[in-house]
Amino acid sequence: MADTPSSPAGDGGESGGSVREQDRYLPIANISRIMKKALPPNGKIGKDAKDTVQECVSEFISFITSEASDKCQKEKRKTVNGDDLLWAMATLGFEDYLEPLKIYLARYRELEGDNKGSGKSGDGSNRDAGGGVSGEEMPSW
Amino acid sequence: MQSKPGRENEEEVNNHHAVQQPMMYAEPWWKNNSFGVVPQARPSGIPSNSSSLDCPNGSESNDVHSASEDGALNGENDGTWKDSQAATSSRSVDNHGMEGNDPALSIRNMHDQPLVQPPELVGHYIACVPNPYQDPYYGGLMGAYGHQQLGFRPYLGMPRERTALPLDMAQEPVYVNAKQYEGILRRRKARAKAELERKVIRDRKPYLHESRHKHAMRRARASGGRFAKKSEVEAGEDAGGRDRERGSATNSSGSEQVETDSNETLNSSGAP
Repeated sequence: MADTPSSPAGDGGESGGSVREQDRYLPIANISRIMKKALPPNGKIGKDAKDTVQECVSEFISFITSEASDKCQKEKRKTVNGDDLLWAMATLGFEDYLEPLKIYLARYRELEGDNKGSGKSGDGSNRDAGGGVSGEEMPSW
Repeated sequence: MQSKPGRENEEEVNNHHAVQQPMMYAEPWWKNNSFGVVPQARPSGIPSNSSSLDCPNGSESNDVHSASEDGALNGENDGTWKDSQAATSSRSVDNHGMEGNDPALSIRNMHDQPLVQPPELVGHYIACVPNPYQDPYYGGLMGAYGHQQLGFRPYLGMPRERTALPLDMAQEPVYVNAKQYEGILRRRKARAKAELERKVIRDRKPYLHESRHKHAMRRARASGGRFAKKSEVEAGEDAGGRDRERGSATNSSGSEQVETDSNETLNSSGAP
């Protein structure tokens, strides 16, 4: 959401620095698209299912990120990178995610380069979860 | 043609979700408060908990909880020093919990391996339930934290009247992955904090961008207030604009936002 505003100068003041619904949840349209990929062509998804998954994935992201953020604060670093997220998953008991995400992160850094890799590693993990919906994920962020 | 109705439905979901969100988040906040009320009831409940727990596991879990309570209190004080102290104490707790709960952890790992996502679902509910474990130890630490408890009680006075029912739910103990215990507590605090901020900032802006709002207001609307379909729009310029929006993913996300804004305006018009 924050990346999207490419508005004229007049719209600059609209962005309020507060906890908004847009900042707390992932866009439900993107979540719906990801969920639809797992369904047969004629399958449909109920609103309650979308809302539930939206809250689950948003909370999961905050859960992992807060653990990684704690580690960065202890080590007096300001940037949370992909390795911190992998460490946080291991610490919280999600070891099964580590192997596929390490592979994904290595390939991602090869393609994007070192500078951008650290900044966008979070998106990388989301892309992996999305199963290749990277093109659609980026604009929404 | 088909994509637009889907988006509109999704936007309706967004609006519906907006209605649901405060309710969904209000519950854990109330449960937290209800658990704050629990310490008075818990002194009688503690012996039953101890009897239900196994002796060695019970003692170990008690140690873990007591130490985590110290960490929680330090965190609540919101001091950098105290945060670091909480971190160190929490780490020692982690070590102790890890050593003591090895068999339990192995069992839980067995559970976690096949079901990766359900632990998160369980984490959500557990985020509310672990409160009873904290509060009895707060009761036990009356001498040390009497002032803070006095501070807590006026906050909990109102919720007491509202949250009588969740007390029954609170009596059921729920066990969580020891690795995730502190993370769950941290997230509970963060959500409560966000909830308070949301209460302060309840007046939500109907749209994010003035220019997009104006554009949405200019669009032709069909019966029922929805945007007219492409076939119904006679002006070629509008069609050209839509083609541009469809051309790139960025514009498509922008158009989604525009439609969201229009739904919000519809809601605002529907209100009066």
